[in-house]
Amino acid sequence: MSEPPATSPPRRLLPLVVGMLAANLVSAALFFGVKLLLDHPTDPGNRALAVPSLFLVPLVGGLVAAWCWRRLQPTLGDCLIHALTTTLLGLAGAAIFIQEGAVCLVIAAPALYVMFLAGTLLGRIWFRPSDPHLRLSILPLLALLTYGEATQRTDEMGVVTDEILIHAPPAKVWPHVLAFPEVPDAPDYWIFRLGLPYPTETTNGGDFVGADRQCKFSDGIVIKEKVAEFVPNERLTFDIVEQPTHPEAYGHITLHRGRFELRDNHDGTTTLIGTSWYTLHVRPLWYFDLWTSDMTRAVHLRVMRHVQRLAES
Amino acid sequence: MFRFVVHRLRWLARVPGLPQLFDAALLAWTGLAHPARLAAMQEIEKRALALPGVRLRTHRLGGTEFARGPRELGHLHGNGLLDLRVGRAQRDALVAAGHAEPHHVFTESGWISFWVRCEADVPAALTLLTAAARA
Repeated sequence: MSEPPATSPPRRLLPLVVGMLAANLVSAALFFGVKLLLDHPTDPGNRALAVPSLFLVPLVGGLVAAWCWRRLQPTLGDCLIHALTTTLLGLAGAAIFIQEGAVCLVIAAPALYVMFLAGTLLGRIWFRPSDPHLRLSILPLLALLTYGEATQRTDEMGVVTDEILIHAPPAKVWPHVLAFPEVPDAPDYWIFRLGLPYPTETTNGGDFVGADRQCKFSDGIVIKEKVAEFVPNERLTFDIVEQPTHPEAYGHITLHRGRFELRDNHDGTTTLIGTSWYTLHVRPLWYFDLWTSDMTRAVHLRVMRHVQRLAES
Repeated sequence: MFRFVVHRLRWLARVPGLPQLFDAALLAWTGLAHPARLAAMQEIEKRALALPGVRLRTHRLGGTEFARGPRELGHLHGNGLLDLRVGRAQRDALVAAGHAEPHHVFTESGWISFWVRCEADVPAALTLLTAAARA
């Protein structure tokens, strides 16, 4: 069966723009539709099931765009460029309409683009005008899959641990672990500079289990904590009692617990070990956990290097 | 990277959609780092569609498949690797003459692999595609 001629250049613009808008509108409808179905009305803090997969949603968007562009017969290069434009349009929409943070957008962008591109590449072949099999039925099936994936997933707790060597004994390190004044350094991690809140100061409400602590971040964020384990010169564990409401973190992650351990090396040095426990609510987990681990590591190291400087001075 | 994934992580291809996702990432990289290769790939696709009865399909392991009727002639991965089924006899002759390499995974099969790197590779790729259509 021969291919019909591709649409002439002046007439390409309208279907192209329609495809970009339709892809983003359908993606947004699918995202918020699934979110609405899964949100916990009696427990708004529990958003674990409420974020549809950011792999499946753009895949559907890519297929929708490809269906709108089917008469344009896009080449591989067209798909690359149009998928990029559509993804940027969607990210701009997320920034404007739901005030999504810049860091979240930067992190999500590669995944959204590649999945959208995959949808476009599949769709440009599936929906070719010469193909007798119009595979539109795949769209509702994928929408159902997006819903099903969100209902079937289980939460998994992530853990990140880092350690540094401090040239001071544990007794000299310990007071700075409990509380430290404002970190004077400008943030050197690129995502901090992009807008992710970074730790600046910690206050301590008492040297006992149950004492309140506050970890202060840039942008005025305060994370309230409660001491859960207090072993002087050895271990401080604290539970997070109030989640941050910053747009870069709200709804995407639940912070559970943090711990500092001091290991006496018996040579006048201490190994300071920092650990954080969290649950991510965005999917695919493996993708977003790579970023979260990296950011958590940056938070740990900023605090621990400050403690190191104070203890060694 | 491609060799590592294809040889060591081949089991992941059983996950629906994952090969297509990987191929999309390969294509994105090709578009960014090797625009000449992308242009050549587009030209091959365009000229392959002009061959009698040839149409495009999505390949189960990612990439664009060239088919005639129900039969697959070959497929083009997002990184420019063209795999073609030419049959054992043609495969031996093409590899011996240096026109193609043994298939990058199934080296002893009737398949061949050919790297598309720039526009200059297009005529050779189409000659091989024609050979696959004859097989």
